[in-house]
Amino acid sequence: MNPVIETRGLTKVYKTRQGQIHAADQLDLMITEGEFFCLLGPNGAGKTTTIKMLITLTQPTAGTARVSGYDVQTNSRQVRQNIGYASQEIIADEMLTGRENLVLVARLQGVPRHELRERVQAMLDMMGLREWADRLVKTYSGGMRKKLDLAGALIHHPPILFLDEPTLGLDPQARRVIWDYLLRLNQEQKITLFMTTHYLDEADALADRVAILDRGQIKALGSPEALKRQAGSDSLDDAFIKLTGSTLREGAAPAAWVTRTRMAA
Amino acid sequence: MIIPISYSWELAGRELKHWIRIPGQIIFSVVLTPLIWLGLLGLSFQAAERVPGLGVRYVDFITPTIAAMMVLLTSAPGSMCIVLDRNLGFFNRLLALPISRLTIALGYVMELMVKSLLQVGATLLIAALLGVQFKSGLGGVALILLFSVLLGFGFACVGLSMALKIDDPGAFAGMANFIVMPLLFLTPAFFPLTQFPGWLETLTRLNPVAYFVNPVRDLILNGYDWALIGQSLGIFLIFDVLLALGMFRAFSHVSTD
Repeated sequence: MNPVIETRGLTKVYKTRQGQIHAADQLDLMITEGEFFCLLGPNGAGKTTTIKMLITLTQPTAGTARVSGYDVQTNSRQVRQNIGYASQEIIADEMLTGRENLVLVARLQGVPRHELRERVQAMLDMMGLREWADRLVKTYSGGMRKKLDLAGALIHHPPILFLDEPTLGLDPQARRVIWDYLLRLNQEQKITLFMTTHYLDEADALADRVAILDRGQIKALGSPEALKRQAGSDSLDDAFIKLTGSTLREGAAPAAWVTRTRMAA
Repeated sequence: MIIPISYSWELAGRELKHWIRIPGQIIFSVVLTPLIWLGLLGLSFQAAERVPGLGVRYVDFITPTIAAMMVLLTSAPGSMCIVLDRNLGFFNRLLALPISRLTIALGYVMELMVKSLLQVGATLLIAALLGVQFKSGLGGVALILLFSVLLGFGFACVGLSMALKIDDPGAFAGMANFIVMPLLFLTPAFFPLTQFPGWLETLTRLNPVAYFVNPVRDLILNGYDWALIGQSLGIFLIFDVLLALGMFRAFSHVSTD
């Protein structure tokens, strides 16, 4: 399989009054086409910094990264043409309707005008937002706004989707809907997914491979099953503790659904 | 193929929809603000006396001032929209799209220009209803609108550049007003330049707002003075180009760290 995301020695150092902080420290990653990859770690581990470097929002201090074959520093425009990105904040514009939000993003993504209406409608239908399409987003629930953000990230049919904590702040039911949709995207449309999360169950349920990141360094890398096997434990939670000698500082979720999802997948 | 201007219009359209969807905001900023200022300042001072040294009604004299105020308050403090977009994460979303940062910057500038033009247009209309006669006719009104764009463009560049550096909306509003208000008062906006002390007159000549107030007032009171118009257009050309370069540099170096 072709590597579509590749980093070598990727490093980001922030200088503060207290000294230097290595938000990302010598990261070596290779994600192949069609893979569902999850960067797992507690708050402050460096997940968002890593994703920001990969989507060209932040310049690395050292090392290199290529996305879809393009260098993130020298070919940033080409990188952005080949990715979709949904941030951890809900950013759909609440003074526009759902349809207007998608039309705006689609136009800025360069979707041809003759395809625009059809593609926006298809995305609204896929996300279950048809009935709400022409209402202002300020009337939407948190889960609906998150789905709209996801739709915006996918409107131009990117081969790679970056998701930064996509279920942060959502209730368990809304999380399930998002998980289900992400799995379908990955399995049916073969989109490569690069997702950050601090929910252990989320990584366990969705990812083909997981990298455990803490204080900017990769502590372990492999499939959830391999990590559990390596640590001799039944859960990713236990595996994390055994492999890193520490525990995640946050995280909880519907465990029964996790088991069901992995079995179905 | 990326066409920056058409994409910029898409972005400007988004902000203008916000504006349109809060009707109270439009009524207040486009109608009530110029009405109150022209009414309060123009008519109340007019009751006292005519403008010293000029012998014109104060409402005629003050109309360019109110137009300048509308442009300045819309373009610099109006750049707050970018502070809000940065705090909401929407700005990062824009940066992650395959459009240039120049396109994004122009989108915000265009939105502020459209708002300024509407406000100046309303100010001139209200002034006409209050009896102000434009000696230069409709051509003069078109020139006043052109000067409004030129003044607003420069201050939008200043406001947007500042908005990239300041995270707190309250702090930004304070800073923007701190810049705008002294510049407004440091012009012949409220009293003729001949009434100023010498040092203040010198400072006033360095103030770009004066190069809006002077030709606009002349267009209203006297007609076309092409030397004055040409001088102001030249000053604004330099002013706008320099500030645009500064803004594009600020946008190209903006960091999400």
